[in-house]
Amino acid sequence: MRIACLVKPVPDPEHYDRISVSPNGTLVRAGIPIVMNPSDRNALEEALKIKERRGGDVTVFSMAPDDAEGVLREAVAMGADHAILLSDRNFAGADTLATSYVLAKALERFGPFDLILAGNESADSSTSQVPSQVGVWLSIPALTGVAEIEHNESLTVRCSSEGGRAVYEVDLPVILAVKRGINSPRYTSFAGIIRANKTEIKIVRAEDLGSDASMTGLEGSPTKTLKTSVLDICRKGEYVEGDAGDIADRIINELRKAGALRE
Amino acid sequence: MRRNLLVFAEHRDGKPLRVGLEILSKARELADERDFDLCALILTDRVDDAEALSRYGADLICVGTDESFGHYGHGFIDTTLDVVRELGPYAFIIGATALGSMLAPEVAAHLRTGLAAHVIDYRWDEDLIQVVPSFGGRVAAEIVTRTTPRMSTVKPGTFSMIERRGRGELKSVKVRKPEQDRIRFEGFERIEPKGRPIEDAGVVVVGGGGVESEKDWGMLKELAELLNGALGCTRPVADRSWSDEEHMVGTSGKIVKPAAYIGIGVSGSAHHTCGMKDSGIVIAINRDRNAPIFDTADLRIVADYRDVLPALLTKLRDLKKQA
Ligand SMILES: Cc1cc2nc3c(=O)[nH]c(=O)nc-3n(C[C@H](O)[C@H](O)[C@H](O)COP(=O)(O)OP(=O)(O)OC[C@H]3O[C@@H](n4cnc5c(N)ncnc54)[C@H](O)[C@@H]3O)c2cc1C
Repeated sequence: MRIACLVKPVPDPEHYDRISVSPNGTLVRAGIPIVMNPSDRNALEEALKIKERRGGDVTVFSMAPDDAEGVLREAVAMGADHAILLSDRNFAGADTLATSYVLAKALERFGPFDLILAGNESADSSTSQVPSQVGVWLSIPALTGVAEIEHNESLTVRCSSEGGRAVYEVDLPVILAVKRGINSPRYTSFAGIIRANKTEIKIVRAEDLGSDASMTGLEGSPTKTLKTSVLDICRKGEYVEGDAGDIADRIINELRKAGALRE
Repeated sequence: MRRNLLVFAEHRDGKPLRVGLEILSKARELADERDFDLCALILTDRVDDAEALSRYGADLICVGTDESFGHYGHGFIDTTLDVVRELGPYAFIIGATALGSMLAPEVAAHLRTGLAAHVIDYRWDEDLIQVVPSFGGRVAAEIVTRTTPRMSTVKPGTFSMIERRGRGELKSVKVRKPEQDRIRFEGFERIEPKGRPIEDAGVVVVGGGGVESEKDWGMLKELAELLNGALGCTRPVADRSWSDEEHMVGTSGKIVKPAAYIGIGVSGSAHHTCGMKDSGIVIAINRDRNAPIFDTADLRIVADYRDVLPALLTKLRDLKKQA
């Protein structure tokens, strides 16, 4: 079984309260480390589990600048066999359509793959769109919100939905976007780290992919960001400390004032 | 066809989901400002009263019913594409439910058009401005789409339902079904929700990663009950067995706007606050004076919840007895 896994390097989501916007409108996220997107870690774990059971190999793909190599190396240290970094100046500024186009081109170029796994959402833009759109470019079905994957002749996939889980039977090849709860990702092992240091992270440029420049990056993106700003959600609050009984009275008073206490 | 906006109005068990009505309400305002028609699309296995959508402003209601539309499948995509190609809407908005989140990106990619995710506001300028959150809601970005239709998704709870009459003409849609779908629906496994839903509650108590035990969770449950409210959670708690994602507030969870929000042992990461920031009064109990949740709180209680809650519960029980 040839499995591909899509991973995205993102600024560490534990530090988004440190993000600001400079007067000229660019995002400032200095000092926030780049990490593997949380649910992509689950996608990779699922890929590795399937490989362990059914044999085959796992290739991780990332469309990101050259400095994202560390995240791909970590994926190899976790157990991925190959890592491919799609990095080109022309890929920059891509929205989900242009991103999915480049990923699909790469999956074709280095494929075919039986199964493509991705995280259900990225921590930074959280659109949950890329996996489905990759599926469209490749003309293969996609399912998102995947909470469980079970193997038989075909695959049985459970997708979380309002009030429960929808169960689908799917034929390969397919692309599945998995949720955080699907498994607990493994840590990198010492042997894995040594192997990762010896593994080549293949850097692939636009010319290697034969991608159409009008479909990639800023130019290939039908959406355009006009302006970004930090959402001001701060309130003028009041600190309350001290005796628990007094605090309880204060809470009851405030709830009453807000009309939230039915008496 | 007059210039129009199209809204996907998802149905379950014959009834429209609220999110579709919320989007229609907002889209009606946008349509009026430009003198556009407002169209709704229903693809479902059963619809009790399609015309009811006219109460939320729909002028034209396109209805496709087929047993295969009780769940997701490629027929949904193909039929939707047909309707979009026929109506040629200026914008097409879909609720970010489980189904909508699968449908929207596929339709957008087929149409090679842009898709703004989880819009929190729309505004007309020269073009339609779509405001979307990023970095968990820390940042808002204004997006325009250079292709037609301008597609976007909206999370449930983002807009309010407003009754406004539309013409309510009905039109039936030719249903398309793939001969052999490569994804086949096998059934739906219902999961009992762990407690009352948080979406409509007047008071939402949220327990976070700081809540230490299931026994303590019991105190939060009682607090929610005494306040006739609902109990929600953050990510770390949704990962435990006490609660679940249906009760999680934030980017991957629900948007709530109760009259009162009480956060207990919640740090206040952007991924959570984006789901509660529009609440009435916000009360936070956290023992760390520097917890970010306090920036978003009206009442910033610096304390251990294990000290505050027993006292609060006693007083609320007494109040209840007096009543
Ligand atoms: C893509 C993505 C989507 C996400 N979506 C969501 C989402 O929808 N909803 C969500 O909630 N999170 C979401 N998260 C996770 C989010 O980033 C945070 O990790 C999470 O919200 C933290 O939860 P918390 O504040 O409850 O826990 P913690 O960060 O563990 O904070 C616990 C807090 O409790 C306080 N505390 C501890 N003990 C006590 C005590 N005895 N008394 C009083 N206070 C105490 C601590 O001071 C601390 O502030 C998402 C993350 C990603 C990457």
